[in-house]
Amino acid sequence: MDVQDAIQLTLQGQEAMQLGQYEEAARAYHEAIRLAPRLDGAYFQYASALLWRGLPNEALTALDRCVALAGPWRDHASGLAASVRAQLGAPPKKSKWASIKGKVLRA
Amino acid sequence: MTARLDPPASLDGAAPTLIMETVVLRFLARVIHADGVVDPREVKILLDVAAGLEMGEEEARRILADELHRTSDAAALARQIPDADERLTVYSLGCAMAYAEGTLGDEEQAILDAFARGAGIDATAASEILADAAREAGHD
Repeated sequence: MDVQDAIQLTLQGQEAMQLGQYEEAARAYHEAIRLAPRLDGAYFQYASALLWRGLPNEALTALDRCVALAGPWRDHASGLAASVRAQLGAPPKKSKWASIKGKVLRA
Repeated sequence: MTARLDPPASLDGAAPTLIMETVVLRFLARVIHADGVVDPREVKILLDVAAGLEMGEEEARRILADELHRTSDAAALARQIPDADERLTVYSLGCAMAYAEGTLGDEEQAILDAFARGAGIDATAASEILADAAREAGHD
């Protein structure tokens, strides 16, 4: 029964994601994970909401867990985690931020 | 019956296109929206910033709408930036944003302080960066 409830929560999370309400989505997915800790898709979707919330480190933890469960979402989670790690490991963008600062000061 | 969630055919929309830019845009939105009032001029500044960050406008609007609806923890955003020097640069950018509207209010100061704590920037360095931003914005 917990798994069914968890899936219902992921559906609520997907609705919130479609509305751009990422915090609400993350909460729904987090609760789904609590109810069904082996529901790998919930970890992937939780990670997705966290990425939109600007929390890539926490998202990577969820993606790694999804990969470790070795379920049907493993390849998606592995691909997304690699993409996020590549961006986080890229050279710092200090010149980009400095350029934006100039724009802000002119505003 | 075994309940299951099937994965999607593609990953489109599973994540913002630019991960670090999303973190920075949320921080800047958090600073400029510190007083809790949505001002169309502030939104325009943020969309201009997003364009400068090379983010798509639709994606930026989605992120900003969410940030204005559910504000982020500035310290948590700071902890997402792996490079210490980059955290300093982004903090400096946040300070400039705080002065974009004029004077620095208590709310903006609190958010900058939280970011500095999360970024591991000591109080002396944070004060110096903030003072530099004030000078650059003509508030010295």
